[in-house]
Amino acid sequence: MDSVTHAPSTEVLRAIVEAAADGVVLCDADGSVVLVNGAAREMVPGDVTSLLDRTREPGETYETALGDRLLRVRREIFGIVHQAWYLRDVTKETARADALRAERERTQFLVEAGRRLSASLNTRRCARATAELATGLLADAAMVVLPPGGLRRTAWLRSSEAGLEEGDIPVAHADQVPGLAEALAGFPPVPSRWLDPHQAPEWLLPAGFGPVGHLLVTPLPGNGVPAGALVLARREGGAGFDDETETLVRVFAARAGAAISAAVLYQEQSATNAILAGDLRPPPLPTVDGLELAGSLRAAQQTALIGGDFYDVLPTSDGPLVTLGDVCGKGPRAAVLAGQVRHSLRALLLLERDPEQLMHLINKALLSSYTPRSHVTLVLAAIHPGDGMIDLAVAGHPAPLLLRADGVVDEVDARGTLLGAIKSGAITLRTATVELAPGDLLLLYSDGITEAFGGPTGREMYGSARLKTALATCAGMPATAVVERLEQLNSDWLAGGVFDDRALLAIRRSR
Amino acid sequence: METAPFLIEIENPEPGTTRLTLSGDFDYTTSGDLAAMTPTLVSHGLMMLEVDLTGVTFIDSSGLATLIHLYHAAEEHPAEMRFVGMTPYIAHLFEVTALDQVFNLPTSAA
Repeated sequence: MDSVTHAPSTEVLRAIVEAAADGVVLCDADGSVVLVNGAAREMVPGDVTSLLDRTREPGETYETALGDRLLRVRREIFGIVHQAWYLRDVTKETARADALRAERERTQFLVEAGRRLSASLNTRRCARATAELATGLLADAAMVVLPPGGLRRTAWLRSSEAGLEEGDIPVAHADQVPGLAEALAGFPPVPSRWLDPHQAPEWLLPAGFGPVGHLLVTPLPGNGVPAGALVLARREGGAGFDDETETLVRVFAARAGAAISAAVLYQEQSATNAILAGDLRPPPLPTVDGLELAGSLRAAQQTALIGGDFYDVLPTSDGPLVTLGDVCGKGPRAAVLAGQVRHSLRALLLLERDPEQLMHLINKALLSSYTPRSHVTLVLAAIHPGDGMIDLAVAGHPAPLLLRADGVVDEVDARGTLLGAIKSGAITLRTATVELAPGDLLLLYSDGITEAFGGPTGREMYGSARLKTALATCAGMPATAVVERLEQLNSDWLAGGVFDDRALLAIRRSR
Repeated sequence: METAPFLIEIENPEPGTTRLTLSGDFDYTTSGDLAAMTPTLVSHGLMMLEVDLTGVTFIDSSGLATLIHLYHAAEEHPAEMRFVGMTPYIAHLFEVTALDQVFNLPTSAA
């Protein structure tokens, strides 16, 4: 009973230390080891003193490797003069922490991959991001082989310490890389250990890469079609592709493939749009003796939506036929329709030059079109450059304006029905013939000009009255200057607001 | 530019008559709603379709095309379609496109 109230004896202390789960090494003031407990002896079968770093301050913790294990050591003051070293085997704990860190690294990698891959709709940039992302964490060299665009050759991009390289190979050469032809065909990847790295052809790797130790070939899956393949190479002597990495590569390849195939589709579509929009692009205006011609066509700001304004000056032996029109709607359908009208006019002009007759013919052609809503507004002006007479027909379109040399502005008294709209085929046309005296100017425009919303409130239409006033200030100016000025005034009105297509075409008789 | 929201109101003031009141910007982005509704509007029992455009602030070619389509659908049904209200802006637009020669317009508007 007495012993309970007294300080524990040395034997008791020894027993307690001996029973501790942590390794304990006790040294006296001189640094000589006076006690090594069972746990410490088990952890360190040999000389324990080699682990004791006497330069550490009391309270400090450090880790030290012992064979394939990792020990965490803490130095403490024990009692008054003794020094204690507590030892703990943290091999497993550290392995778990490492696994967690690796997992975090993989997650971080995928986050970064998602961010970079979604940043572009350009095939090459997506392929480049894929190759660059894969270099480092995944491989020493990464090559993206794009899906064969043509029949003979296919492009590749490669990232490694040597930097970014690109080139192309004959499609048949894909057979030289184990697993590549299969990956390009969209077959699931085979484990890296089944691929013989020594079969890798020279072109697969950057110059001076050295022997390949491990190869991993993964298809880049697109929207139902393969978007190419990813070839990863690690040097001989380095770690192979473990299961975790192969899984990570498959997840990464799925993201990269989706990005690349989206870019491929986008580029195909924008190429198609560009071809279609070409039908709306204003042509270079011909030089006609005695006339000045100037035009301006501003496409709507919504770039995805191709608008429907167009103009043409078509030369004939009797003088030019000027056309300006606006097709209903936007997008590829509008572009196709505008192209149809422009080409129809060119063809019809070989047989017929009278604007009124041309209007009837175009109307019939549009009504027989398979495309619903093939509605077009059009102005046709047949010009006789010799005497300045102009035959005009207007269908569903704002009537042209006449600017006389003295600054008087008149609206041409011509109007008519929208073409391709009324099923009965009956259109009413009131045509006009005007005379352009030297210095006079005829202005054709689309409703995008007069219906431009802007002004002080931002909700007011520009209107035909403002256009006429602006035109009146242009007397005596060359046609090019008139178009530029009107375009400028109209843009000022818009003040950066949203606008529809706007077309202007001026014909001035110079003498 | 602030776009005014496009709204479609449908009333049946009496049997056989449907009144369509449109308001806002009737253009490429909004005309699809009315186009989609056309077969339902021009259905069994319709005799008179009244269209009120007083509240319409803007019509582009797509809006116009939708009205033409509606007009043709009514004509084929057959039912009469007439415009019961519009602004000077729309009256002018119908004049420019010569649709005033085709459509049944109120005499007071222009």
